Amino acid sequence: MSDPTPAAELSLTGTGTGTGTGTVTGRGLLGDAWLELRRSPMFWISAILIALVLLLVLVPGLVADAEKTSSLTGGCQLSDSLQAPSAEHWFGTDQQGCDVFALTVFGARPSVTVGVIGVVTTTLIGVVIGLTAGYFGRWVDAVLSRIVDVFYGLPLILGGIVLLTAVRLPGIWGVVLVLTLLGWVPAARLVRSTTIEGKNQDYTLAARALGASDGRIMFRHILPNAIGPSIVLAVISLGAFIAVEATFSFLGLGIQPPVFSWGTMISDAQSVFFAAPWTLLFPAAFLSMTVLAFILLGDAVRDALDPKARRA
Amino acid sequence: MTATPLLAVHDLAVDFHTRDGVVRAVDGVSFQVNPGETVAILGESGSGKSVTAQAVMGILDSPPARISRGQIFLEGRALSGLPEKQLRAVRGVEIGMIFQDALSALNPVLSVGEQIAEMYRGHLNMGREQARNAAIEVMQRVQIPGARQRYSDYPHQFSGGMRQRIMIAMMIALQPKLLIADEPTTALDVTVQAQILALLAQIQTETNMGLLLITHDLGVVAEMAQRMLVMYAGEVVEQGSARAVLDQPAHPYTAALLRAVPSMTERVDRLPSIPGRPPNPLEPIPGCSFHPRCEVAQRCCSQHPGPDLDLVKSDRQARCWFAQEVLSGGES
Amino acid sequence: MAIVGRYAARRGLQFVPVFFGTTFLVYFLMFALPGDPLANLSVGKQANPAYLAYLQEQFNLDDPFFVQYLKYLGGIFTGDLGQTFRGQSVAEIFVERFPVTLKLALTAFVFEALLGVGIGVWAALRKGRFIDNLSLAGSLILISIPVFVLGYVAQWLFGVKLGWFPVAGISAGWPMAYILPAIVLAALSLAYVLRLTRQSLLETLNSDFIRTARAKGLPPWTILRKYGLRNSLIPVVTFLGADLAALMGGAVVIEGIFNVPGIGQQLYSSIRLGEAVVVVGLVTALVIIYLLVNLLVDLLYGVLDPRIRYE
Repeated sequence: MSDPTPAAELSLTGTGTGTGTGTVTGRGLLGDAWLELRRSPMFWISAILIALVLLLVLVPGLVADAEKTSSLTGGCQLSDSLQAPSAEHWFGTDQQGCDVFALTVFGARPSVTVGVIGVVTTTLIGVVIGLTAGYFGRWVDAVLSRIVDVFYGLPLILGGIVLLTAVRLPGIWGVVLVLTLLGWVPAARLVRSTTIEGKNQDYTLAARALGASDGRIMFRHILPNAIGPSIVLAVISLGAFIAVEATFSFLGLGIQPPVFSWGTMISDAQSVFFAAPWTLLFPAAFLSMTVLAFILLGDAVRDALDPKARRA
Repeated sequence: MTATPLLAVHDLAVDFHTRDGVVRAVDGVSFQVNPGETVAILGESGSGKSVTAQAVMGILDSPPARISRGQIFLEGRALSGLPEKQLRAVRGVEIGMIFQDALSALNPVLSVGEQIAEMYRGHLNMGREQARNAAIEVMQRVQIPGARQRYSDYPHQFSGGMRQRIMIAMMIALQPKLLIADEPTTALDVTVQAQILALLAQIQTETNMGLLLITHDLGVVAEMAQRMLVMYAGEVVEQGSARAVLDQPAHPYTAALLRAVPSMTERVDRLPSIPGRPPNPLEPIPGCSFHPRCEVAQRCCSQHPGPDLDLVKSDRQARCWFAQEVLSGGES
Repeated sequence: MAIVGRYAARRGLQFVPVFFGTTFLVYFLMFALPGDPLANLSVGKQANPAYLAYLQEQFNLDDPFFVQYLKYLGGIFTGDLGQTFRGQSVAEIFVERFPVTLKLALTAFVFEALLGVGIGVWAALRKGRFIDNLSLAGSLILISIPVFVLGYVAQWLFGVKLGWFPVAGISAGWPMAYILPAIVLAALSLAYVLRLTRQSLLETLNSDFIRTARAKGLPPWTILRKYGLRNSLIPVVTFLGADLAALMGGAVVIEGIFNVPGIGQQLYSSIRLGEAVVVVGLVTALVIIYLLVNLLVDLLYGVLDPRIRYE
């Protein structure tokens, strides 16, 4: 009796079709993703939108006149209050007679800054907690996972409302504090699960068998796997955080004067919306375009990083 | 051949319409399966063997796949061109099909019993209780211990071998005339493989059904098949009686495959392997598609496609200009 | 179904530390941060001694932090969420206003579930066609526009301009007064549900067991229902369940805009008036409801997906 022979299979497939993913270093993976990204129209649309927003954030003075955003400098005249869009005031004026176009241009920086800082801090916290919990497992994971559960049980907006009711920080810092304290949960869960996945990969076991230290295994073998998904999450969160800032500002809990953002502009426009919709619609449009651009970018990056999803 | 064969496939060709162009996955495949007979299709991944099986079953994913040529007959009745509704009455009833990975091929949220009973309820309009009893009966037939108790268990609660038995139970529930087994034992341990093959052989003896076995495993072919086809790059390159082909291949590809199997009696330092890699279906190779990897290839092989399946010997066909040489070379 | 029972018991047990942890977190966010809580809480008000004394008493600020928390926890279990400055019980406010919020959230939930799942399935079955692209683009736009902007625009367009629905308030009763705020409240989640349903169904339709179902000769409708939807809706149902609770939180903004007298509107005005006691009390109550609904969803998940039950 002849046994079924696995060796025959080996010789058939062993000549290699070159499709194995195997171990991927961060650079190789990201390099491939970049090649794929360049072919995606969604990527270019979002990149152009984000570039425009960054222009407003970095050099708003090139686009609009800072004086027109404040009555202190005499740039706003109450006599100009709530004028409809015109050649002089492209986006009209608000209640104080400030130029809505200039406000919108200068409002970009606080909105985007809040999002960027929020994403950086939450990603860092998420990586530290997720990596620690996923890598060390056992009681460390048990304790950290319960902490994650607790934070998961508190919706960001509700927790933020409580915190911001009790604490008033100047400018953008209240919202940044909320995002940092309460916004890291998705990143931690993501990094934890990719860490557990990576920990059981053959190449990680091989590295351990060869005597690599915990630190080396974590940073050379496990973390690179989490980079791709974390970037996607970070990009999408950036859009979401900008929207969260607007929500807090809308409730009067967000960015504090004299700093203003798209969120505070929308909040201020509430009472005059029916009479002067432009005061709300223009900052809202910029806000929405920015959020949309980051979602599109996140989608494009995810597709580029995940060849399987692309083909499906 | 005098009697009408159970299954006759004639000049089948299947195309895949992909983003990067049209790929011919199966080209001019013809074969027959008789009642009670086991026919094996041997080939490596991408050779078109599974696509052939899916085409017979009528479950190709279309788009992108499309049958572009050829006909399929079941007991002399043409299946190609039948409306979908009539094909549904054939699938599962007259032809059953089992797959490689029973865990992913079974619905994870339905109990295994329900999935088997579904055959009786859907095709025979049985009542719930009657279908349940019939399902338990067929589970017992494939030797699942405690079939009655395990009726409401879910696929993930079974071992790999047991899951494949469930799959077999489901597909023989309505006593099909033909069972297509697409790599039925590839995902299993060697000992379990033997048990599943024995079960298939036993069912076949009991019911006289035809078995079309898709595999890349020469051992499985040797164990099970009366006749075999060897596929390479979408074409049948050799066919004949399984014993004869395995003893004395007439196509250099088959010969190379056989040499790559370790022998039980001789000791060798290094197993020979086939140089090169399977062709990329997007870039058809001019001439005979095996010639870049072939050790007997001459200049003509790169210019002319292999001959049509040629009768090299009684009941033996091969698609090679040098079939006779390969055949006699194997004897030495 | 002893196994389901064991699963439920385990989930119930896991709920206990989360409950204490999350209520503690709410309290912590209010008081454990640096600075004088009294100074923080009375922002925008003159340091009215009567108001300060009231805060001191409501939050037991004379006690050490943990004793404060335990008293607050005791309050939760006895149904005491504190009192407003004028002496009204926050728990009473909650009980009085909760039905309105629940009605709004459930109405929104119906829109979210029916339209989100319905369009999602439709789009998946027509992958790459016009309706698929339209629903993907539309859902992206809904996700990008902040809900309060959507609220004002809807109010202006359908309330003021077209006059199809009341502009604000609930005097028109259910359903007329609730439809517009419910749609706006549901919009964001609807977009998520749509995309999740579409994605999940597409993935499921690519699975091996769909091919098996076709090999079994089952009719397409059965395959879609028992194989496609049964599997792909598991994550959707989980999302929907968790979102029912989130909708009640999202009502803060919507009820403010449409002047719907529910918990959200109370919270909205309390935030603006700086009534910390009411804010903490109402948020605590909402968070507890959120946790309970999530627990129920977890249990439902166990019923829907046999693989989870036995893990």
